[in-house]
Amino acid sequence: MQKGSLHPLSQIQRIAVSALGDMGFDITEGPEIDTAWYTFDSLRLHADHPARSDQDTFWLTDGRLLRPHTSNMQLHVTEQKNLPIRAVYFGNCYRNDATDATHEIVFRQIECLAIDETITIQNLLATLETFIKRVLGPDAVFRFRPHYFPYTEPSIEVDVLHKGKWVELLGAGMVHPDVLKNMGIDATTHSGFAFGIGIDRLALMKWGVEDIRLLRSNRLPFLRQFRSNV
Amino acid sequence: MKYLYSWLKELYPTISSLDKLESLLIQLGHDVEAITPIAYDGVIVAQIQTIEKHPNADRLSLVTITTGDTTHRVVCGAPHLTIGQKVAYAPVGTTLPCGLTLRPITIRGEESEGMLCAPDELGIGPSHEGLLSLPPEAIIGEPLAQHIPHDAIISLDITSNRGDVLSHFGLARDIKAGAEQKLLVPSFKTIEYTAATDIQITDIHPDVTAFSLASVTGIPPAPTPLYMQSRLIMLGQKPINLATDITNYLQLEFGQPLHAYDAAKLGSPIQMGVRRAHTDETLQLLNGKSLSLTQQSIVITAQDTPVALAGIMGGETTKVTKQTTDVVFECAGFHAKAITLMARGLNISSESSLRFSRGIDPTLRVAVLKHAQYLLTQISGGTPHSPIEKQNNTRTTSIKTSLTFDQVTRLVGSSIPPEQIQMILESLGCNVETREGGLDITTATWRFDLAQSADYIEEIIRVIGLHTLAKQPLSASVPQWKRSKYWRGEWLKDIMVNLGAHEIISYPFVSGEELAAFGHTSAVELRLAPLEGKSFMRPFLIAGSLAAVATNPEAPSLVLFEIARTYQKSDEIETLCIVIASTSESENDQWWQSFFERLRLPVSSWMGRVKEVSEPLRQSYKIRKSCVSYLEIPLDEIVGQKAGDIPTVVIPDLDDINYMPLSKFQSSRRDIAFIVDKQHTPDTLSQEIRHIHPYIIDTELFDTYTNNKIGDDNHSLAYHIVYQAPDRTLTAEEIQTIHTLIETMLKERYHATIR
Repeated sequence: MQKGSLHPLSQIQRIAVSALGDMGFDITEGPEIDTAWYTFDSLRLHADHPARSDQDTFWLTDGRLLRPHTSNMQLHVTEQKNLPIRAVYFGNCYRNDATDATHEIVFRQIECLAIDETITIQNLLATLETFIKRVLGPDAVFRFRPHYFPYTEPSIEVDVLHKGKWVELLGAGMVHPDVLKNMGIDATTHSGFAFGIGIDRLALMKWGVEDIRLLRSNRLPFLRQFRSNV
Repeated sequence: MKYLYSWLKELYPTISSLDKLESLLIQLGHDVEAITPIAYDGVIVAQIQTIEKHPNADRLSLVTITTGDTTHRVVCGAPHLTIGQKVAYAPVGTTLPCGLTLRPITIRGEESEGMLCAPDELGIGPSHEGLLSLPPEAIIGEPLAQHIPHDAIISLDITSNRGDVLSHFGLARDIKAGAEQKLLVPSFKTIEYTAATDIQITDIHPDVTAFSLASVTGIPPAPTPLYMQSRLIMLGQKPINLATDITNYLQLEFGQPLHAYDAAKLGSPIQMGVRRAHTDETLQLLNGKSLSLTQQSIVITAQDTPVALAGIMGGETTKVTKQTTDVVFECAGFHAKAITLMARGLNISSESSLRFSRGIDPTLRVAVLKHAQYLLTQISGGTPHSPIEKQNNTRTTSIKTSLTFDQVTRLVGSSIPPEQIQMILESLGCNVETREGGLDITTATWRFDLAQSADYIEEIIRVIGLHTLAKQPLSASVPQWKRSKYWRGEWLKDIMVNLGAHEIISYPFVSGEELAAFGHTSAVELRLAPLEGKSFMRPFLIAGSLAAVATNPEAPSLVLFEIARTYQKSDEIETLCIVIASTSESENDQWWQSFFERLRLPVSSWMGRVKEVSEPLRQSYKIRKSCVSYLEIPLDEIVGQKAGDIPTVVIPDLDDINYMPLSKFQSSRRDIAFIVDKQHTPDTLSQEIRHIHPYIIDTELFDTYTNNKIGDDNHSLAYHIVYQAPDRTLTAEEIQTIHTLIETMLKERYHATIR
């Protein structure tokens, strides 16, 4: 009997989740179908934010929505768990986007969240370094760059050097004090970080997959190439 | 946004090199998308002496030009040529920024000694409508670089919180803070006024914070200086006329939008105001579009008639033209949200609305207005009139934020000297007062994004540089991840993969027909269908699995599985679906049996949960295989029984995979069968074969047996080998060459006997 294949996204996901698991991040489950409060308002993506429009987000007939990012889990995690928190969560995210070789309406993200009395930016940088080297290999060249997200402050993007060019890899930051407040956590005594990575684009970069839509094409000539030593 | 290196350097001359600037921009959070150098060595100023029609081409001219000592004849396709015109001439041998090196060429029978250049050919702008027109004072024979210096266009991805850097000055100020932690202050030109204004401002709408006007009268005609034109062109704008170009230039320099009107078209005496539009009003905009206004539209009026869409775009009827002698410059302040909502509602955006949406330093307005008057009168002439302004009573109470040094240490992880913190915040324009253990900070008038202590900590880190911070691992913690359901699912996947199954990932949407086909009457419904006709979240996986079977008609048999969520009204359930499609019922049953046995599940009762896919259903999915069976159950029901176990899951090595892009060209199949020692497994050999050549895109084991004829230690293996090239269909000879390589490898490395 010849082996079948584990989907490329599953392969990346295993490595990412086990890297975080080794650092004490616990897998947490939560909804993909969610409310605007968990997805937007609690994260300071306010009512007039463009991400909330029909052009960007899939809304349900019952007023709920398909989450456009795994960050909807941030408040669910703090509701489910006691402090200190180290959680990892992952799964489908949805954006109402025109699809092409690098854009999909469904994609997967992996995100982690740490909240404690003494979480610092230096903790975030060290965790990112360990994570990136586990996923991309010890020789990966990357850089941290200040960025802007409404729900983290300070916010960081990480670029990785790929074929001589810097490519955006993931977004990270210290949990915004307003978000901590929405979690019911005292921002004067506690702090936290979060970072999230889209693994579909990582698959394109890692293996040179030419079209993101191949990942959900379920074509055997594509899948068989990922026959690995599982 | 695009910036010019030369302009940034003019505002902050200490920038030492483009490389240093690039790394500083990255450090400060301004992501560099591209840096495009602009150079045109060898291009010189020439003057047109004669123009003739090309004898063999309607649209071409034969032009004689002089460079002072020599004359040349050039074939030229540009319209509107005039004798005496100064042009940019690229002689034979010049290499243009696009990489083209000019050689003597014959065009429709006429020889051309070089080329007259349009802006796009020199890399200084998009325009190919006509030649780059140089001013009369350009000196014939001199390098073009004397008049338009070499430069570089820097494209940055500016984050949405940073309206203050949407100008060359704003960016230069941030760069100086990053480079030396000192504040860059703008220098505006001022004017001595001898004439008072006769413009009146009527009412202004509450969404307007201030409305300022200043005129210049009696302006003699003058062209826009070349430096101003070329900067506009390089940044993707089109020079129009001097007054308009000055407004665009100052917007790029200071980020303050301003507009120029032809005073003669505003009525007399000029009475301007700002109000909500009436529903029956229309406005012809500068972009040529006629807009039906709504009550949400805010308009600038003259004599109560709309003349501009506030903060977005000017109107056509009052625009400045070549005949204009009197100009009114207008600068306004708006509530950012009002402009954002109006631009979104009308679906119009502009350089101006982008800046208003992100907030503009209110202290710039009058200074920029006066600066515009200064430039216009200096370049052209005319009489400047003193500005007039009307303000709405806006709250000007500045909010103080307190920041303790302890907060900085706690969030960063190490302490930063208080003097350095103070210096950084002051270099960003914040007003800082020291107090016991911390600072009271009033934000800069141009920083609308700074309100809380965390915001200021981010600024401090940005200026210091993230790269200077130490990395401090989290405190050690017990890895407990292996106990979760996720890893039991992954363990199950490994079992199925080992039994030859492929994991698929389907889109989680289904159609109403699919719901009905599997006996469902309702499901979670989307307002818009993400995929055509599929507007429900799937309550089951089998629909996606059957579609995947249908996608692979060329496979004689296949086993596919998916572990994914199914969606109920109030729950999302992690579900397993396995589907087997073949032409033999016993082949299917054999697979199910070995699967259940491998999981140590009671085979007969589990076989009862396997369902057959009916013929009509197979047909509706266009599946031609005659035997299709599947199992779909919540993941918990199959791995939940393993609770407590810590299953071993293989962590794959991503570098083991050699992906080849799928080719549009035909693939070919050859078979190979051989006898080899049993210690060499089918998988090892399959990997070995695949690594021989990139054109081997797949190997499929289709037969294996052992018997005493081939020796007890041996087995016989047979593979389909699929060959395909990304760029062409392979010939039989090419395939045979690679196939021979496989045979040689198997014989030499594995002592195999090819059958």
